[in-house]
Amino acid sequence: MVRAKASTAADRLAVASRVAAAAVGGYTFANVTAIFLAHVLPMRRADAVLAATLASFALYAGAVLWAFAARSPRNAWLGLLVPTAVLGLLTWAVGGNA
Amino acid sequence: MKDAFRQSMAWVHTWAGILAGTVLYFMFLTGTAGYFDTEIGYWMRPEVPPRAAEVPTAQAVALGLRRLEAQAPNAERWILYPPSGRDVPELTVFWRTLPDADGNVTSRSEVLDRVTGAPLAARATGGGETLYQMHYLLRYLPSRTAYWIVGLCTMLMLVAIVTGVITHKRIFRDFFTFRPGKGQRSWLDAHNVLSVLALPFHLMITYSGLVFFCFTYMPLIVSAAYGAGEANRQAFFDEVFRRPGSAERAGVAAPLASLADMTAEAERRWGSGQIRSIDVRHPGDANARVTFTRAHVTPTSNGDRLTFDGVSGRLLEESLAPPSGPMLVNDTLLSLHEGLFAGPVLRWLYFLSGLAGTAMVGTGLVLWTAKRRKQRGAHPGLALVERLNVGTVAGLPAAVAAYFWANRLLPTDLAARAAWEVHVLFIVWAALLAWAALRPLRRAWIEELTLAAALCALLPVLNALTTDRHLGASLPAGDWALAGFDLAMLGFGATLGAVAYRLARRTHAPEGAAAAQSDGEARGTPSAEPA
Amino acid sequence: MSALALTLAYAGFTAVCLAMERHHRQLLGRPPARRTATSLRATGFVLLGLALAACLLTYDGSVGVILWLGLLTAAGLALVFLLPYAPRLAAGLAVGGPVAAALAAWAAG
Repeated sequence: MVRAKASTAADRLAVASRVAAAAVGGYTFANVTAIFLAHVLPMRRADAVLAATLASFALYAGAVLWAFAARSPRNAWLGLLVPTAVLGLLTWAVGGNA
Repeated sequence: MKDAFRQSMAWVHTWAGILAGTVLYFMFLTGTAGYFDTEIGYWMRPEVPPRAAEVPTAQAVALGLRRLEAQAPNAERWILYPPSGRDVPELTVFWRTLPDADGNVTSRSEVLDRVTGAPLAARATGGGETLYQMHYLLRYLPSRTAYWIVGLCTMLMLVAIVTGVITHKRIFRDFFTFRPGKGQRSWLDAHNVLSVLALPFHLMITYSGLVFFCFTYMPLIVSAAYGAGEANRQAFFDEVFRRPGSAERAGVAAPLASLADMTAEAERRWGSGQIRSIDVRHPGDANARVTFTRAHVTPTSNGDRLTFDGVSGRLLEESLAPPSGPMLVNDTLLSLHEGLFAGPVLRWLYFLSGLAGTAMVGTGLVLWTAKRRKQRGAHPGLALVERLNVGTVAGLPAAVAAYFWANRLLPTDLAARAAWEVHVLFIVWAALLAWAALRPLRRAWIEELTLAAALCALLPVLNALTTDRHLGASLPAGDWALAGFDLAMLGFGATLGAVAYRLARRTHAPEGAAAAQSDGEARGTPSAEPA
Repeated sequence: MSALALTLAYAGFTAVCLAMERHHRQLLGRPPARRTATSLRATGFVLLGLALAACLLTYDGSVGVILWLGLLTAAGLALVFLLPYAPRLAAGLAVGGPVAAALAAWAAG
């Protein structure tokens, strides 16, 4: 991500897109991944939910970093939405919501 | 490629830092004070005599129970805190009444004399405990709003820490680097050193801070597994914390079983002096429950609880199960954050690390504006942040000192006295923000730092003028909890004063490397530094 | 024992610090020879390890490690802020500190 001295509207849009990807996309990614983990971790349900919740903040932080490290805002979104969708489907397949 | 990555991480670091910086500074300052919350509270209640000799827990419990039975016989909840070290220095009781005819509920807490059981008379004050609670409850906001603001800022802090480490190009080579007197470079060095040298603490305090309210911040994970709604949520809490499900009030009267017997059983299992609190739900009802919580002696004894049936006195087995792996991680993180297990040496180290964190945020805020001014010159947004910085980085310490001044100066019979002490803190902070907006920037820094220094350094003098619990009495008596406060204030005053003085001396010298040469501060670095 | 651990941590950090060219110059006006740098760094890490041992003798298990990390912070901050203003004092404390603490511990019991 290159910062120009005077940012154009396009630059600002790109940044806004990444911020949205980080904040909203990241939160979604962290939650869906954690919900998936809560399903597959080999421990009793309450402990799995706890473990997944504890991990969720690290997942969120990682997603935020990805959103800004990705080569383009498009990649930022895709890199979060695709795993989210895949894990979401897997969760539904493995047993879905209680 | 590596460079673009670092650059983008640097961008995230600076923006996460500046957005959350003011709130984080407030959180760090009040949270760090929290490591000595009861000691501060002790200083703020000079009427309370120096801590009496130890009494057997059974005696403290009996006195507390007697007070509760007299003051709140028809209560929904009682909590007793027997004296246990610096964490709970005095016998304390708390009660919450049942709703009255209009549905109103009253809560009261009292500190009792551990020998007579009578309430200890002291000026109404929030003490150090209120200062500490503000670091996650803020003030003048509904608690849920505060949790969300605090949570958002803590999340930004976590991002700032990780991006900071990624961005720091020479984290090992610059491990010990601090070059004073070189303007922006010095601020960056200081920021780096304060961050890296306490990095384990900063990472732990931030992540564990999120864990405290993790089910508020990430409720969907629980809902997905247990179903939506409050009942399902409580079912999850009962399961994960191994709580024998909380029973509703039966509405049938039944006498409470012997608290003394339960206390004896708890002490038999945990050892003496290990009870932190005794929580009685629905006393006098058929569904009464009594939960004992263990004092924080090690980082992992955080979750130890014993729950008794309140009528039969029988220990409910569920509360005896050993913690699972995730539960152990959870309890340990929370324990590390609070540091209740820490003895005196470790407590001072916690305090030092917290101060480093506070200074880390402060130097970061200053660095942000210094860099921006250099790169882009003056503009209104920058001016606003510069003024906010002065009013916070220098103004907030002054405001906290003013809180202590208010404690000594406000009349003891003032209505809502405890609330007014806190109002003074925020009034002074607001006034200093306004002052920063009106004065030339550099003068504002010097003036506010000097004020903060004076308010701190003169506090022990004010103490001597308004009470007899001053250094002249506390030092010979070896009352280190009390003397420590006054001495620490002298220390803070001296430090803030030194910074103000150095800033004032360099008012006429230009910023940058040229100043370093003429300053004579660079005598430790005889040869030119490689860039 | 905590005092001894603190002085050992400080000494360890000082040794590691002096192994670096910039700080060696700060104190002695010239960069260190390759072998000097290596031995200083090794000595430093050994001292930091001894500090950890002292902490584990004071408190067992996790609390000992927590104490060590806290002392490292204190020692590091002390060294970093002393070095630019009084480099010889900073270095002298690294030698004098452990000696004084050891003597004090021996005298106490």
